[in-house]
Amino acid sequence: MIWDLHCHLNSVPGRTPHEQMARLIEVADRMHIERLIVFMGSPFSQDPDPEELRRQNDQVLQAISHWHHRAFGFVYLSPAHEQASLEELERCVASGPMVGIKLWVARRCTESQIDSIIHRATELEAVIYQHTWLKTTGNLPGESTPADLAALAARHPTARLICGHTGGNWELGLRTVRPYPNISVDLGGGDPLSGIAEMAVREVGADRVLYGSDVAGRSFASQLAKVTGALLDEPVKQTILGQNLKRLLTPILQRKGVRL
Amino acid sequence: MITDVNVWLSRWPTRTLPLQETAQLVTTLRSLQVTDAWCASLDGLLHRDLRSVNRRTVAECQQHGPGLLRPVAVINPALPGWQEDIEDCHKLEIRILRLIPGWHGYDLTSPDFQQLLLTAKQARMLVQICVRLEDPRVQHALLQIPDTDARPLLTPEITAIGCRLMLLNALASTPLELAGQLAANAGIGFDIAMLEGLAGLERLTVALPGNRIHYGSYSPVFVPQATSLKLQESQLPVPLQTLITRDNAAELLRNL
Repeated sequence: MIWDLHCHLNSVPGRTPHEQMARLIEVADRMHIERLIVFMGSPFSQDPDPEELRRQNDQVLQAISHWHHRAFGFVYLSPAHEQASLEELERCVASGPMVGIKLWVARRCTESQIDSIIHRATELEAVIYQHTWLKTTGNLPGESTPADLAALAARHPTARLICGHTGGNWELGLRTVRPYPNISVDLGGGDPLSGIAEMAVREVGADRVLYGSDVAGRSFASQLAKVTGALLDEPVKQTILGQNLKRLLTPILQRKGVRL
Repeated sequence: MITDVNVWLSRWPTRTLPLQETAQLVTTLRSLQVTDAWCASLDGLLHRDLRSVNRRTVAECQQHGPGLLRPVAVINPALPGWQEDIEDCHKLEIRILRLIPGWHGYDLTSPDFQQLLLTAKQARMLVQICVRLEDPRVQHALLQIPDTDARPLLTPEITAIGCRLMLLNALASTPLELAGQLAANAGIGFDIAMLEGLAGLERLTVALPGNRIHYGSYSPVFVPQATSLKLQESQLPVPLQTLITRDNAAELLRNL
């Protein structure tokens, strides 16, 4: 069972979100990927205003509307627009079909405006995906580091947090989030460097490691290989490829009456 | 039967690689149906005694993978006496040279680089040029290595030499339009280790002639399965797949 934590519509060929989603599913089928999590629309917007957030979330809602048996959506929010984000959270998760939230690079997750969003998402049992990077070449001003996420995890110990890209510089990211059991790590989005999955399992435990691809910027192939090509036992690979994500999503899926 | 044009031996400077032992790497390559792996040594990134590095590569290939591991020599034209390193390749029966300009501190406008191409052309050798070995965002802070700009390869001074060239790890940082020009106008080949994007090979085969695309995995720095899965992700006609996985490399070897 393979569930992909991290898919985007941006750069997927297609004139509409429906067509883009159909193409994503077509290629996912070749790789035996059963379910996709989709977030953010086209084009990518690093610091979207409330209207743009809503437009991008509408694209995702359209995209998954015919694929509820194959795809879930995370709502794109921004701490730069706290009230608008809370409204989008109600619209897309509390009252809509989405099951998690995506936070990108508009503001670092150390800023206090994020707390109300995390608090409400946790009430809804939504999964919280925070993009993180620790770039040797320097982060964007609003780009969170794994240390920022660790501080958020300490403030919200019951939130289901995901460390996007494992911080990019994953050897550093893993060491940083290791003490926080409510943080899982997303392997997706970087080059298929050998050893990432092995170190993740060694450092944070297999139950906190998630497969994600970051398509269409990345390929399913390169990101799947991080797990399938790792020197790990087959049951551990299965845990990473889908079982952990399913477990994280199960409370909110049950709350929404989704049967798997 | 697959020819992998982008394989390395020995150790990466900042990380222990799960398949860094050659015997284990060989087992994995064989499991992926690789029958010809073009191997240079990662020692060549920082070592300056490259003759010793290349001799160890030959010994390692003979010990662990005769018939599978094909030795490739790392040459640095910024080092004094690099011509003798190439002469040594004749004795070692090495026909492929691998350049690492970023790590060796020169660019493709360097007169030494052009001289090397002339030497390689006269010796009927293939030259592989590594455009990138690591995403700059994840490099060690004390080992920040720039990508190599491939545009000088389109200049008349270089195209006139007519040396057979292949770019490794180029597709992350070389725009597809430029790659298409390099392939079509200068006959330069590309490996797919750093090709990304949804069904990336389907896009690449639109932008580049099929006879300029090569199966390369960048093993063991990258997970070897990443490249083999790319063939599964894209639906290519079988003849095109065969070109990429075997025939293009075989054609290059025939002319050396």
